[in-house]
Amino acid sequence: MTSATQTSVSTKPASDSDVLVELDHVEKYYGELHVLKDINLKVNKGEVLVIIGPSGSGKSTLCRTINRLELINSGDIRIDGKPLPQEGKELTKLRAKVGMVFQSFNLFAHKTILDNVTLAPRKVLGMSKADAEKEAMELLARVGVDSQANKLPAQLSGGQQQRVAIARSLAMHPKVMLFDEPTSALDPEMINEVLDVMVDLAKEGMTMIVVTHEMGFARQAADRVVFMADGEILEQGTPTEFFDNTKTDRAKDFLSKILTH
Amino acid sequence: MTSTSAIEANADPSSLAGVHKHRFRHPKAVEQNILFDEPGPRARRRIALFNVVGVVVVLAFFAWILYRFANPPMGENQLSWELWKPALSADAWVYFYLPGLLATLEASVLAIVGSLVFGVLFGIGRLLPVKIIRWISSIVVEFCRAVPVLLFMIFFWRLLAGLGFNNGAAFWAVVISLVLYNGSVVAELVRSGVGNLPLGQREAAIALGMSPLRSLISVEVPQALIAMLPAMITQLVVVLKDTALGSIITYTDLLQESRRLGSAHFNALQTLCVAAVIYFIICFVLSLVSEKLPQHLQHRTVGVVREPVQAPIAILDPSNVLAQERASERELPQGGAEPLYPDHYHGSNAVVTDAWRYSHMEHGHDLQHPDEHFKTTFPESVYRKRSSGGPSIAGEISDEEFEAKVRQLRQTHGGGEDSDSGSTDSGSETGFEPGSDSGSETGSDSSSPNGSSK
Amino acid sequence: MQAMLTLLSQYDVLGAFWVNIQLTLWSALFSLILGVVLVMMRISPIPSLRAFASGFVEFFKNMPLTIIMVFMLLGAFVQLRFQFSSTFSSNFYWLAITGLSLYTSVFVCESLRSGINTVPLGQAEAARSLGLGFFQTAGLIVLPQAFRGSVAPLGNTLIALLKNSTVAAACSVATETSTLMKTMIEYNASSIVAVFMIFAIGYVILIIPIGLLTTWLSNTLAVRR
Repeated sequence: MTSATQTSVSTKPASDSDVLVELDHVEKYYGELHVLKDINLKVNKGEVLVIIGPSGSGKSTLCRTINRLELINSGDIRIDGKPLPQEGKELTKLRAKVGMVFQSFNLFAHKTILDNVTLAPRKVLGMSKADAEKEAMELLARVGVDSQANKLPAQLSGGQQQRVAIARSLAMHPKVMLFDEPTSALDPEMINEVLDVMVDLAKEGMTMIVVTHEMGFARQAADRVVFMADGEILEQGTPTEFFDNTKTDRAKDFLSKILTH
Repeated sequence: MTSTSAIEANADPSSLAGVHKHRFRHPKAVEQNILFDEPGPRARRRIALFNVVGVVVVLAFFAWILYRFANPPMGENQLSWELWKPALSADAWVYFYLPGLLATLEASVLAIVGSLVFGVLFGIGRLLPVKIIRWISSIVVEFCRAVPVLLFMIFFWRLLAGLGFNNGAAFWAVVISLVLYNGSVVAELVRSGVGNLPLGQREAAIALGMSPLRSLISVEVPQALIAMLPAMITQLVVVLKDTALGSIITYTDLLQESRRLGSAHFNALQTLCVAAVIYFIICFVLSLVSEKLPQHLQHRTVGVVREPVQAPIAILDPSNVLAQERASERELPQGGAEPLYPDHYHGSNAVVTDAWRYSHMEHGHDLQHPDEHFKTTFPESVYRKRSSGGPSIAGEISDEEFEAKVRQLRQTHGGGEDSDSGSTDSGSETGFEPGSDSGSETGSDSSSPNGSSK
Repeated sequence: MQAMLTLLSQYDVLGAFWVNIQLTLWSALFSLILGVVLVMMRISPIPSLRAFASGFVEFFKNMPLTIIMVFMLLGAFVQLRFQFSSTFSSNFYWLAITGLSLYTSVFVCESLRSGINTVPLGQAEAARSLGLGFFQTAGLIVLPQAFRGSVAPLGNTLIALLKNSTVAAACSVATETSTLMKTMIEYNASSIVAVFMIFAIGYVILIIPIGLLTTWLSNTLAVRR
């Protein structure tokens, strides 16, 4: 069954106040390598944007520029209308509102699962320990790892760790969630458990920007699919438009290599 | 540029170093980013300001030192040419420095060769399956590592002098002591190098029918030696520095010669400075070599080749090679997956690798799926108890529950599933409902899959 | 054995070991402080401080300790007339501690740096992505893991320091073990092996427990990944 979010959404925002993340003529060089070439992207509230493309196309870099883990050379990035802060408290506050899930999970290895999830709410939002733990247990139950709450990350499988990472970001009640190749480091049998969590998150209306290789997820949960190669956005459209009526040759080439198995 | 084209274009292993070089983010950059975010404009201004202040302070510090050298409180001007001239004259070089340097190098080269032989022998000795040989090697190695080198030198010096080796006593005392100490360190390097190799190497060798000794000699130790080569070059530097101890037992090495020269002209500080510069240059060049080696050697061994941050002194993996290696596995700047070094390890220090491995086996490690290290659990006593009660060890479900789960999965996913594929993992659910109590059903730790959420 | 016991009663061996232990403890204290300062400079974003710290570290890593000790004696004391106190013995003692501290601080710095290198960059990135500020990231996430990773190299540095305290003989510290050993051998040339065994076993008793403790501590504290 498809929900309302699956109906086709035009690439232009209905009104400017709906735009949550906006990238305007973003350019990035890494030494001499032109990693991001004139990126223009708008993401609306509640929209699920999936970025796909070959390795080295700059999609992970794009994802990381949104919360300033990577710097850009020129262009504008605006989140909820405000430009991306460069440093200081504003940047910290913004990062609290933009959740990020990493390819290598990056759970805090020296703290238990519960501590991982309650750390930021307690230290950044100032929640009390009891409240934070209560909410954390709810989130962990939601993603299905509440039984592991007192373990250390190294004791969990990859799929479990990634789900904890998602819960950890959700604990901060973010406006938008960034997913940087969340399932690329997982063994195949664990990919589905993480994708299921992400699909449910999408159904609840979370704004998500997902960089992934999982075409099944893109077809099922995306509102818009963006194809990147060699640092530029070559094509975007709804999943049906993209997968069934691919326009550019590069995208057709890419899809033929990926979808034949 | 895609990773596939890079690999096809550069299939020649000797150029692999080149391929990886320009895609490798230099480790020093990571060191700074770990604590400090990329600076914004305000931070950049502050850093520039502090930089200027820092330059001023450093220059002032050096100026003060030079000033003190020129005007020491009760001595004479140390920067004067009359003190420096005898230290730098040609005579000084020909009659003092060069013979001293030669003596130092003689002792070093002999000591290095000796310690390599000693180290490989005793390292293999410590790894052999025969208990007696292991014990003897261990005792010898631990003893030689615990006793200060100077004590060895004094002992052998007096012993050899007493036995009649008047001329060469100091020389041989220096060489033997250095061989004993550095050989022990090399033995430990060999042992830690072999221990850091992935288990698969030994398993493959044994599967082919090699005996443990043959597997050590043909497969493990060569790779360990290559992997530990930068650490061994650092040990070379240590050997060179320790030959200076010979001056305490009157071996006429570079340091002793410069002291003699200094006492002749009362300019010991100056001659010592010259000797220090010579030592520094030689050791620094060797350190540079050990820094540049890893990128050339990595494709010859499956062990991790890394320059040690600190010269290995005592126990296994003292420079945290493995832990640093694991830490520096990171994505390439443009995203994409290739790690520079092979990813075989899931522990932090080599010291803990064995215990970690065996504790898996104790707790029901699945030999059929050896990569799933962390499906099983650890003694609850080590970690604090759950406050909400319930059995503390996850993954233990009864057979009936297991069957029920499999049946349910087959229903929701239309059958055809292999019952082994990961369904013993207590966390694998197909969905969730906010607010539903999925964790504590019937008091068992496994959560039941909510097949109805779709 | 009998020879060892007579020698032990004749000479103040324990006193000599105590001098070495004192040298070690004082140098450990000063080198720890200086090492922490050095590592902070080394990983700071300010280029001039970084360059200075790197230069300092490279200099002392490539310098034999003996030269530093001899320099303290002949250079600092004799020629520069640099002194800590009026009595010779106490003066040499503190000169030796200065030399040992300068030398060891560099290895402490490298040990701490090695510990910092065991923390993956992703930990800091995840912390920042959650909105933790600089002090929170450093104090809660990076530094705890870094300290736990430095335990092994720091333990090794301590062992090396204990063994290097014998080089204080080059700085004319007259009451420590290597000087005493030389004296004992001179007067008891027939029991040279016994003399050696006394001191060797003494150091083994001191060092092997430290080594075992370091291994155990680094295993217990190691952050599993």
